[in-house]
Amino acid sequence: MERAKIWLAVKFVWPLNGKMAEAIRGFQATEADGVWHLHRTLHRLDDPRQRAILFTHGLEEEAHAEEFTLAYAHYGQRPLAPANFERRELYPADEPTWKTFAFVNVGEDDATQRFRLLRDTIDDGLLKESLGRVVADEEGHVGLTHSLLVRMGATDAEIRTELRRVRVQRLWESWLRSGRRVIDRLATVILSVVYFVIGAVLHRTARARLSRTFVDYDNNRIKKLVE
Amino acid sequence: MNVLGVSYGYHDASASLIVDGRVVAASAEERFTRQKHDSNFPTFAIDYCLQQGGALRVGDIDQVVFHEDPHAKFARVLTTALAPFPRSRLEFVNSTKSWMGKKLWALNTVSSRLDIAADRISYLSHHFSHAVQAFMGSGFDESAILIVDAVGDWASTALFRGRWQDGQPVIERIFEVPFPNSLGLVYSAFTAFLGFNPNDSECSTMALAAFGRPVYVDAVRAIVAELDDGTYRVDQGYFNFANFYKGVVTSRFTQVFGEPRSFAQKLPFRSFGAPGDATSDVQRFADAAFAVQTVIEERLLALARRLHREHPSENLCFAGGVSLNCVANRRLLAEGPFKNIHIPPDPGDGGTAVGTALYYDALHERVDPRAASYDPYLGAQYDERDDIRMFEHVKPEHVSRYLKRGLAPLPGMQFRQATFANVDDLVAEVAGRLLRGNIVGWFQGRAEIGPRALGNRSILIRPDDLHLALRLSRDVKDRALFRPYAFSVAEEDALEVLDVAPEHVRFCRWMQFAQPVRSTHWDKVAAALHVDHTTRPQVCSAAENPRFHRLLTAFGDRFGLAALLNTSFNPSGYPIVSTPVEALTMFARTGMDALALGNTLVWKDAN
Amino acid sequence: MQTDAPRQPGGRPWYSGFTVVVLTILRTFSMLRNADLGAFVPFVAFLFLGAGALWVVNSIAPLAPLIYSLF
Repeated sequence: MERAKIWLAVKFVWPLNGKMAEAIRGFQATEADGVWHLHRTLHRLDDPRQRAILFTHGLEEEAHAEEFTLAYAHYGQRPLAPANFERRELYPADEPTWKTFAFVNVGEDDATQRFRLLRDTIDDGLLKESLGRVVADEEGHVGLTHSLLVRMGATDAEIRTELRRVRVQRLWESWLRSGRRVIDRLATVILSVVYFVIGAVLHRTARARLSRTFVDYDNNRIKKLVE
Repeated sequence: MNVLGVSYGYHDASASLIVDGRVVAASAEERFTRQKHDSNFPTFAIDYCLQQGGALRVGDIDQVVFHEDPHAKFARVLTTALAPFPRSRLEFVNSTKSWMGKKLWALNTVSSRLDIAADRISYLSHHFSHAVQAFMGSGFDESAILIVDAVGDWASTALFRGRWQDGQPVIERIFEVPFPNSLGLVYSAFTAFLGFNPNDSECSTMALAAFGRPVYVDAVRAIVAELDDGTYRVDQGYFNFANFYKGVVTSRFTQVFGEPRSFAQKLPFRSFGAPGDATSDVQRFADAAFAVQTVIEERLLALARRLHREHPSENLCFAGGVSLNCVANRRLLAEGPFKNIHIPPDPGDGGTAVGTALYYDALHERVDPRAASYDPYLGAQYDERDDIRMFEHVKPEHVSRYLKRGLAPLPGMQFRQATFANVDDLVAEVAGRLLRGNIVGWFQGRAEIGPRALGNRSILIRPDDLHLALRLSRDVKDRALFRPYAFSVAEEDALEVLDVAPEHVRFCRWMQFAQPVRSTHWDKVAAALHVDHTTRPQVCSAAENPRFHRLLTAFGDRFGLAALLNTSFNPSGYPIVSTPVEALTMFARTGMDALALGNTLVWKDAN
Repeated sequence: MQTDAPRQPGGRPWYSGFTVVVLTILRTFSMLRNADLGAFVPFVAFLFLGAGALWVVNSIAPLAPLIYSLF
């Protein structure tokens, strides 16, 4: 299913104007997000050796983000504009630290699988080379992640339970995203109709307003929301 | 009284905390999220401010002040989206979704995210936020106030007068120039035309201007025409401010200036070293940059004169995104009618959180104007010791796989570190390394607010070494060679190196004014000069930043001038580093030679 | 799970959201009139109604793909 989706995206969506570059921008944001969560997790650990492992892991993700930044510039023919997703803590502070790391690694595994499929689907070029390097790095430490989770204090049973829970949650979030996309399409259609109906009536007022050479109403004072 | 200032929604979300009239904390959200110009609700910046205020809880906050009037702004956005009917469907649909879905409800978001009652929320219009931002920290008893940016509610430029009366600030509007007559948007449009990211890389346009010729100046003067009253009008036929989806410049623009720069058209200009070879097609971009820079400066001077006629003060407070244009600021200072100019350390949208909170506080408590002023070192501070211990376990062979692209690993390289008992020993060691041609990260104390590194989150090199500057650009910063560096100089040596009037030195604290360098010192600071022999200096006093001042002085004892090339500590595309881990990450991956974290020095030993 | 930073008690009454939403709507109308755009008010009122309807639909967004698949 995933392979088919990727094939369809690469063959039919990416050739559209700017779509491939936007996809690469998303990959860059995913890697940068990984760095951010790794650093947050690192700060919650006491053992300097464990911190060092996460630090090195963060360097790897940073390098991957750079790969995609360069790829974006190449395919998008412009410098990458910063992403702007709202960062949130994955867990409250009183949850064990290893859970955050588990969440991050599930995300990484999913991304790696997607990158592997992409690498196998796209034509030769800069992006294929970048994806090849990224996938090679990620495949190199699959076992490391599990051993690190154990070193962080999680039992095998706990790890399995949490990974399962994370996967279910990610599925649910994906479902919600689909729902929002549907709503967004609906809103676009409705607003487009509204635009042509109301715009025809109000655009002259709007133009007259914008062509004024002065700002008469003085809005320059502090206001309370509830007086 | 505890007042929390909050700004978010467009770019540079931030928060600040005022406790009993004093700014105790301020930070941009981007410093915590590592997303440049992060515009989302500043959760982490707020958490930081509350912690810094003594582990305050939201229940301890007397008032939250928001930097926008969303109702007023929505009216303008809607009007802008409808005016180009029927060509603006996409603009209308996306604006309405964004505003009806989120932005119009910003005050409700503040209330619910902070769990704070509605009667503890205040707000100001955007330009009034900038006006209070500019005036509150100035220390002036009275002042003219100039606000120039892309757009606020209905205005793009606003002129105010400010004064203190019985310990409370009184700020009154004089005149507003209505949108879409926007100097900020014109500059951003040219920035996009030149192939840079608008609202991020206007500094590249400013840098490129130094390589231009006055070929297009008259054309731009006609596009941004000066009016008899000292204001200006923008000919909208050249731009698509209201309809960005169709491209920000029109065919009328490209008929004059040619097609926008494509990524493949590299800019060969160099601010230092041997000049590049520019073809005529690439030269036109520098000429366009020169033209817009020249005309923006002229319009700003005209606005300053108009403002001075309305309010003949010696003092000017200047804020809004356009006030980041340090070249224009120099002309304002040198040629304008005001003797004193104050620009807040973060004069863009990110700094409004500080000004609005100070303003609210001052309206409710009697305040000494001088007590309301603040320095830039308001950001987060970290204890680096745990991170230093962590780094002892980082193996170079792991790091070498993830170096910045283009860097080769150093065979046999080891990481070394040493902690110094006192700052004098540290600065002696660092000064020696700088003299020997090291690239050194300097991570100390509280982070600066605003876009400038002022000696707490800086990368430093000796200012005369052009090869070193080239290595800095290529192996550390990924910085285009036409963008000049700048230097920091100890206050005592400022007049020796800067060709400025003595009374103007005090305005150069925060890298806000480009200034000429004396020809006798061009060689001494060659790597930190632009092609026109100007720089954007930080004049550092012992009172404002004692640690950095000691380093400058220690270096000066060896070098003969207490000046260092100072560039911000951030990888390309990212905000300035905030935590020691981010600093160590950049140190490990790039061509930096050493990093001073607090009293500890970490370095790469290639032997 | 995605969570905010831990909530600290700020004393927000349960009806605050409703108050703020109503105030936002009224102040938007007021600003339109101040800007000589009174003609926009009915139109914006319609947009508010539409936004409200979409908010309700969005609240049941988990069902949206199912609903969509029915058509």
